[in-house]
Amino acid sequence: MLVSVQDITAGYGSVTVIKNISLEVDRGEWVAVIGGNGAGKSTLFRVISGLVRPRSGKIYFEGRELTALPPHEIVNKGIIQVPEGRMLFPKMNVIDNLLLGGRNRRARNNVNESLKKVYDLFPILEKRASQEAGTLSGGEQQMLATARGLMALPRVLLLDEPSLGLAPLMVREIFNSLQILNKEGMTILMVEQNVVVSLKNAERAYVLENGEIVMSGSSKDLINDDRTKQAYLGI
Amino acid sequence: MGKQILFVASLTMLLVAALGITPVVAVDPVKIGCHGAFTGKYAAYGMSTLHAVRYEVAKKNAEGGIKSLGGAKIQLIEMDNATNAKDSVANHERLGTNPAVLAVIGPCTTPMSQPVEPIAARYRLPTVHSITTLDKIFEHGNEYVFTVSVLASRYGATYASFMVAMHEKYGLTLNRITMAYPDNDYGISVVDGFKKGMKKAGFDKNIVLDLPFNWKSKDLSPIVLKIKAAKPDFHLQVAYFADGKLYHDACYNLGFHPWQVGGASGFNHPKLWKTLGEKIGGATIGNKKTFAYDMAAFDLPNAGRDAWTKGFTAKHPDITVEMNLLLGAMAARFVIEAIEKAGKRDRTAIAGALHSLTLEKDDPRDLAGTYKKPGPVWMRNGKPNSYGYIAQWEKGNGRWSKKTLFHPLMGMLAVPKAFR
Amino acid sequence: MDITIIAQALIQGLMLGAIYGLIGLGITMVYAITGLLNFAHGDFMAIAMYLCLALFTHFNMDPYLSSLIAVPALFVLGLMVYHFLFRRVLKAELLMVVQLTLGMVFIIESSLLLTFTADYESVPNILHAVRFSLGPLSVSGSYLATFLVGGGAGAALYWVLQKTDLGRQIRAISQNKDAATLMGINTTRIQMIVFALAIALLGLSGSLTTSILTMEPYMGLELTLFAFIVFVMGGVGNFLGTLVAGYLLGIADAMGSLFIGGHLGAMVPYGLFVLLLLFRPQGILGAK
Ligand SMILES: Nc1ncnc2c1ncn2[C@@H]1O[C@H](COP(=O)(O)OP(=O)(O)O)[C@@H](O)[C@H]1O
Ligand SMILES: [Mg+2]
Repeated sequence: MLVSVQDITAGYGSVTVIKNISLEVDRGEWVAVIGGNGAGKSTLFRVISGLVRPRSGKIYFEGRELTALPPHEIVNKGIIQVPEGRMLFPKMNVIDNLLLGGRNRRARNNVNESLKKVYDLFPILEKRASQEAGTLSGGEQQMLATARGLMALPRVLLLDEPSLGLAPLMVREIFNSLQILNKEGMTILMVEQNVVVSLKNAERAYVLENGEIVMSGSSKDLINDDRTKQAYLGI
Repeated sequence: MGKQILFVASLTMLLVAALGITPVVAVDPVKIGCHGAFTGKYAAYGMSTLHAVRYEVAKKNAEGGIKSLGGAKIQLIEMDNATNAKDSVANHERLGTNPAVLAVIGPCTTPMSQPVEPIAARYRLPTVHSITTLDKIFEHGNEYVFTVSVLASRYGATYASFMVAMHEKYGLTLNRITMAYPDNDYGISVVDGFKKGMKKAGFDKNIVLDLPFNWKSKDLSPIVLKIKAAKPDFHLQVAYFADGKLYHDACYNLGFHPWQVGGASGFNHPKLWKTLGEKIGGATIGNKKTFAYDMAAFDLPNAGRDAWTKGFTAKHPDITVEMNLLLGAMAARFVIEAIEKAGKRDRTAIAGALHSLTLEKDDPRDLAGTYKKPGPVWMRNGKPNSYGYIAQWEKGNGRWSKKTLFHPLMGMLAVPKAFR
Repeated sequence: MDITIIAQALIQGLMLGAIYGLIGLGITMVYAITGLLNFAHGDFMAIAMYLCLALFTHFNMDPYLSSLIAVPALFVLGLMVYHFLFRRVLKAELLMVVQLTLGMVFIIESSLLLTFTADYESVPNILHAVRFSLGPLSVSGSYLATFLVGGGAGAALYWVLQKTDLGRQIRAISQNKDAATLMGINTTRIQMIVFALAIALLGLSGSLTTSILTMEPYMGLELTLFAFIVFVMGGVGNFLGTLVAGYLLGIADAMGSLFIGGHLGAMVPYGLFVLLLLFRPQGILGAK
């Protein structure tokens, strides 16, 4: 297993947000975590990236424990998160955003090639290279956020709600790019409220409800599961 | 462990308190308060006063105490205001409400002294300041406040009579007179005294520039530019140390070297030489056209001061005798003398006795050498009847020192550098 | 009024303004990456100035030479203050920060007072008695040096911020700290370095101005006040704005005392500050 989350409990202050969560992602897999607003999906990602310390439980990457590492060391290992809401550096231009993405220890010697690669994937970014990130359209911003993540040469890419706030056409474009990446071997762990899109793209999924995993399985099985249909697909 | 420490600490405190209230002498002592800035920013001034006062009290006690009160010893109550006007007020209140306290020396320095003036009046507590210069404190008809230092307005009067003397004796023109001063109580008092003096001599119409400035400025170039543009025949610069330094820097930088007199610390402080450096210092405060106010004339003979210095240095060889020390000693002496003279433990009588103190010509009690006129020590309202001197920096044997040139009551005492 | 007088005053204002800008820049840097204000800011400059005084008194060292000691010394001091004190209040209530830094003010001022007494001090440097003139205008060597080095340091810092990886990291943290962390930036380390750099900058300002300003143990808070004004005027967290605001404040200072004078003239910089708050609350160049 590339990533193995074992029995993680975490929260803020005295509030517990996620309870005893375990999940696994294998090399090259595309795994989704689906769940409603406030289920604790982003919190789970923040724990994996080291921004929130878990109360208990452990996280392993390639069999090595991550849990005690500071966030920047987790990034240096290749665990790269594209956070919810994109979190660009709005007053910096596109290129500076990308360069920041590519400055971790593993990626920094590869910046030029990475830059070429993300421009290939998202040609519009090259056109906008010297424009301030804050002035881009929503779709462009999501592309930039994803591209910035790719600049970091992820060994696993954590995507927090990549479709949030985007028009359907844009969603399709983003996911097309993600599919290309996944086909090339990129491991993706993705969090989504958009269940249809998730299950269509990911191979496997976990269902998170009130901070607990209530279901998991292959996307095909989950699409056909009555409970999923009722709760998330509105069928 | 923590509790033990607390216990020991409280025990110690109790012990200290108990010792503090145990009568030290059998006969009721005469209590005098001495409070001032013994710590904090102005600690140097406060400690000068305190050293001198302690010395005088110890001396009087060794000589047998207050004779008119059956040899009562003097007990000094020392209180620190930590250079803080609020504490100064609180200290004065406490001394005022203690009926055994007959008089207070201090608090020294104007910011600490100003707020205690009404308290002195309320408790009829004779309060003798040592180095307070502000005229305003003594203008409310309060019979209980006094100061030993020369007042700010008298600085101004001294500048005026010096300028006039330079005109009369050495023919300097006074057609265009300029003055610049910090726009605070002190600066305004000095300039008021100056203007009054110039008016008496008929030169007030010749004041072409009246320039108050912010004494906290970080740069005085604009001020100097304005003075320079007014083309003065003679300029008066009222200056503290810091703005004095800035003034001299700016004058040097702008190549402006008029006939001028100024002070106090901004012209007479020895440290200016270190601060300005030899080159700028030589061109500004060391210039032959520049004169400095100086309260003490240490280069002039003063038998009283020499005798006092000898006695004090024998006891405290490590403390340098300087002006603030002398003023503290004078304050203490006047208070002790007034109590002796009053002959009773009565604050009003002591205030009256202070008012009735007089000095002879060249009185040995005039340690500072600023009273040059026989008569009462204080005019009405506790203003001292004293003036400072005008001096000039001179270089001899490679060292700069001040030579006293002028006193308003004695006239020119020496020839200025420019006319030798 | 004569035009040369105005020009001369303008020059002086610009010279002084370079210092204000430099002092303010430190506040801006620290605020940008920690969101905190350090009330003891000016007191570190006082420390640097007294360090120069001590080196001058004991070793007769020129303050310009002393800067070679003062700058690294203050940098190290900044690292320590950050590590042992400032770091601990990063996530605390604002009031805690105010208390901590005001506590530092008290400690620094008292220590300076105990070590150096309350006397005014100032140390001349080699350029202090050198005058440069251009026609009717003249400027003192130490002012010019302050202007050039101060302006140069400001420009260098601006270049670092805009063009280097460190600068990019600093700007990233100031724009979104969590996102910066996700880029693999060691935010704690950068915060510490920037805090120390800001303090080191005061080491430079202090060494440059020992001959121009008179020092006394309590000077720090006033400098902090100026730094805050420049910081807000420049548009909270705007580096270039801070430098520009410094010059404006210096000029306002000079013009105020030239044309109005006295207390009222001294109010001109503050008046400018208030006006700016009223009509352009985002600062001269806008907030970051
Ligand atoms: N920084 C925070 N402090 C306190 N509570 C938080 C914080 N962030 C999120 N929460 C709470 O944790 C719960 C889960 O939030 P989140 O992980 O963002 O959910 P999701 O991403 O699934 O929408 C919510 O109830 C939210 O209010
Ligand atoms: Mg979320």
